[in-house]
Amino acid sequence: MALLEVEDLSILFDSRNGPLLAVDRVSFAIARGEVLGLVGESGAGKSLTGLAILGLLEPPARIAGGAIRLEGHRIDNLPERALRAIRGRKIAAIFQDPMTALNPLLTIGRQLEETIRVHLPLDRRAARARALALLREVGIPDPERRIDAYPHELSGGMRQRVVIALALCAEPLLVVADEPTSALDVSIQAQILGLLKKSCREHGAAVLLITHDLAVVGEIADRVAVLYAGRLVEIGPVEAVLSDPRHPYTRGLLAAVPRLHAERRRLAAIEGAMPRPGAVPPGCAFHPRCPLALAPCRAAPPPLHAVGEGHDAACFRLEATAGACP
Amino acid sequence: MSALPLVEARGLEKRFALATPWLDRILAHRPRRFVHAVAGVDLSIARGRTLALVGESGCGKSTVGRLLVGLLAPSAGLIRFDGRDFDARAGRRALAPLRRRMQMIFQDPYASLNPRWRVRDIIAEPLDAFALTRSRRERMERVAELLLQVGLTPADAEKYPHQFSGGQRQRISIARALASRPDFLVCDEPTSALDVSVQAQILNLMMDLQEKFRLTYLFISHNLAVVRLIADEVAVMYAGRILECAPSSLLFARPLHPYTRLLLDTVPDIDRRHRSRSPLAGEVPSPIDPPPGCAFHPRCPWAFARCRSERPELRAAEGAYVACHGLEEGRIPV
Repeated sequence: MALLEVEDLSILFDSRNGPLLAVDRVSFAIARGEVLGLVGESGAGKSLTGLAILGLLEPPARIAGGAIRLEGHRIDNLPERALRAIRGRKIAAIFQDPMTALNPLLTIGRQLEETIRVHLPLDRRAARARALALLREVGIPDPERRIDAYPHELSGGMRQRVVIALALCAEPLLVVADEPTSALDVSIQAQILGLLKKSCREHGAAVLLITHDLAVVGEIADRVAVLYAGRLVEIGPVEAVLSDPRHPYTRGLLAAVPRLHAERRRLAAIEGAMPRPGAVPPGCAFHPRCPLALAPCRAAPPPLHAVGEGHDAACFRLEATAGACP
Repeated sequence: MSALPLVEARGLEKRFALATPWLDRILAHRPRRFVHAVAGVDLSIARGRTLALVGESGCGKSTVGRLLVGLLAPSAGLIRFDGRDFDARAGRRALAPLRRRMQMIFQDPYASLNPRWRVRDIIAEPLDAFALTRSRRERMERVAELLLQVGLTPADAEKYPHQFSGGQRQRISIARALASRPDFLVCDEPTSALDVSVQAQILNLMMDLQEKFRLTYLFISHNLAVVRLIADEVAVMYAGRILECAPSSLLFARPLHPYTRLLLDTVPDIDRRHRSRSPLAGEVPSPIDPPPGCAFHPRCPWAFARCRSERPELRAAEGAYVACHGLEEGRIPV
């Protein structure tokens, strides 16, 4: 059984002009200890999906259908009280900006101890010892001294290390990491990604890594799911999706990424822009921008088809996307 | 780099005073403190070429951009533009002829466009500022022409910024920058706020416009893959100084400075997945108290005594310019 199952998840936004569908029947699963990258452009619905799993969706957004199961039990319809026993304990979160995740008025030691004691039956001393061990583990230099520091006394990279320690302090089964390195400097980004992967592996936690950066996914994910306009368009092992993408959007996205080891040249840009919720065209949401679109693509959204071992793509023109990328 | 440079800077410096309250300073017996945002930068850009300035936040790259277009006045050093001295402290009137020829494109297309203005007035602002059109009709025609050049339509002139997506807004910023027919554009992270597929459109547009109008770019970015795509030359900045400057193809094929090497090895690279590597350890230094000697020495695996005490100068080596004692002495293999 998968650790987390997301089945036909739909998320609506209530707006003045009626409900807008932001996530449209998305399904995927995460196995224990696995890193799944969820990629897409801004507005594709990736962060909303993460928030729904955490039970943190706030109005005007709401779950409109589907189910989310953790270890086989539904968690999408739980009352807040029951949810609180899961959030932090079984599912932890890491967000983009570490400053907003930390309380500026409390020392990092205090925040770690509090979180540890809410979830684990430890006294103050044991909680402090665990906090110190975690800080050491996430690479905070001189943890005995830093444990009494306030968040503003730490650099951005150090703060994100503390947030990772905070996420892992109750031994969660799943960590939802939403753009965990996007606010950090390039040289710090690699440190934090390496740390996230290593710590989660050592603690046996699975990771849902939400990012817009395909290179980050290639770096640490086992599998990758691609969202476009609220729909899952491709999912599969990271090697298969990045080296043999089958959905025209995934192919376009990969062709549009500037490469470190390529000559100066024009990029193969995808013309147009992703439709906003409420303006998604009928049929395949990508058809107006798709070079391969035919009549059926405009009529109905394509279902996911298996294109390889655990590799699915939602496209009617799969015969045209076999083989080398354009 | 053979032709006469269009833009040239020598010994460029910019200090900012830290705003410590006066009373606190007196009570603590501390002198005024300064951030040395730019601590001696030399650069030159030939006409029609792109120099990329790369570095991490706080390294001073945006400050260099602002100095070059005169948005900030340097604390020391000089700037020459098309063979003439450009001194941001000179009067507005005296500067206008040079200012018209340089423009800037900013990172955030949501913050850099006035939400209360129509697109036509946003784009025409440089036309009005430099009195470049003689009639309303001429102004409208020029705005329409600019909109077409950046891939929008003349009808968009009547709309407001909120009616456009991030990528379209950046096209509006580019149209505004082109309005005064400049020679030189400072582009400060112009695609960092955009999604990948839109970023590709904007980068292509910038390359096309460069060819069409023979524009000269200073392209400021932290994204090395984007720099690889667009730059002819690359200057790597660290703690207010340039550590390495080289033709782009050379820098990416054979980085010399330890910082450049580690940076290139450390950034996630979609073509080299799951490779073994040693991430760059340590932190970006504070620009208030940069380390003595070579600012990179606390993070440098090859650092030795001289690097901690004496600052290396930028010297020609192997077709590039690099500031490193280890390379100069041959202790670090090329």
